[in-house]
Amino acid sequence: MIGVGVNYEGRDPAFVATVLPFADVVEVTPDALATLRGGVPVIPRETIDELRAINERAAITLHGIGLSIASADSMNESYFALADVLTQHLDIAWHSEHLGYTTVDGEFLGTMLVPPRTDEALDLLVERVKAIQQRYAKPFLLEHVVSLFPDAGGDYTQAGFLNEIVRRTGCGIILDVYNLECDVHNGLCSADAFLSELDLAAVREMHIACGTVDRGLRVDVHSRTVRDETLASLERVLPAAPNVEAVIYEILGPMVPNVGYQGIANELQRIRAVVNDAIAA
Amino acid sequence: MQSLREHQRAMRDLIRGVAIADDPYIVAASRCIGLDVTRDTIAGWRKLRLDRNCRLTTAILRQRGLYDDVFASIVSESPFIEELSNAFLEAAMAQGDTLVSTVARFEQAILRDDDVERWIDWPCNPYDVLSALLTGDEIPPLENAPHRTVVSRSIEGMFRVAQHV
Repeated sequence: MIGVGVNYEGRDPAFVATVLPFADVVEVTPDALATLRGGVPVIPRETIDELRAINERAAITLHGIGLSIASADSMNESYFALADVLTQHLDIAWHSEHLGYTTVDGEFLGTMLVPPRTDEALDLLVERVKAIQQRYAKPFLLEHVVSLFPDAGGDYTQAGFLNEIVRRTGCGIILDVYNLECDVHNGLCSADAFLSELDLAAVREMHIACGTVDRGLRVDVHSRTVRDETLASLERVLPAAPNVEAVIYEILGPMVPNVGYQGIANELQRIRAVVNDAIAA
Repeated sequence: MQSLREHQRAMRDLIRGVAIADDPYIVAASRCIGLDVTRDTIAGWRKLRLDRNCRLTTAILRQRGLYDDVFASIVSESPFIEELSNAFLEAAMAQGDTLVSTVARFEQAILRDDDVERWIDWPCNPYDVLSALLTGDEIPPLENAPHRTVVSRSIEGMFRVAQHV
């Protein structure tokens, strides 16, 4: 069975009441759940209690944005403290991060950038993925990231780089259909080439979303309902990815009013219909 | 090709407008429209978060045409909304407008995550200002009527008007 889910940033009873009945999986981002107390990011006790209640009704996955796994200097250690707390208190199905960096020499960039696909970056990432796999006894997945800059290039293609990380670590992949649409729109890759090369057996989770086009570039902000063509891409890819366990609709917390709670619930039903059709096919 | 560390430092400096490294990729990146979109997305995201977390201060700054100047003077790159908000409110306080400063100090007191009781003195009736900002209306002409608000998590509704001062 392929679960259908949505991300959730916590402390929103209306979201839980309206959306949760339609979700098999709830994706939480440790960074987004955290609040600063005494200058230290912590997951509030009430948030943990809320998530434990949700965990009785749906699977929960961790999806980080702040680990900065591709930073040359170091990963963000404070992220681990948050993930540690969540894995201690919740039954986490799996854990994932973006294949990008958000900090340089400890300075927050305000965005996420894609590293060049070099052997140096590959060795660094492989070492770190292995360390994460040892730290958490749960599957670990990596998600490819949208770039608004020219392709930084390197020794591998985009799919080849992901495949090599998978080959050397055994980690899984999140295939974000919308991210791929962004990269195709922005001239960074061909969807057919990417998908034909990517090890689709390593894909455990898929994401779909919709953002905006700004000055001709498709931007990875999760602010809207999913376009029909994105759902069509999902339906095409799913049968070729035999190990997908969940499809997640992503909407940024501040953008939830754009879609509305009932709108998000409707999106989950649209996605479920597509997933069911793809499985049947 | 640059080392990973060199590449990432060059991208950081490029996005911040500090420097354009002498590297073909960084030079190409400096000329792409994606750089402007990235910078605007970073700023837009910060504004969105501040609008949600510092509703009163952003409202009064916008009413008075001061928002962009204050936003540009924020001294913080923190990913944490608590630190970003504090830096924004400090910048608003330093802007020089007495009522803006009062609203920012009041909002900062409301957002503090501690049990300390704080007093904020107003040059006018705070309800006239707060109701206008919360409903999106223009602040009406204000009478000179000093008030004091007491802000504390132990007070229902977070604050009360304690006395005229």
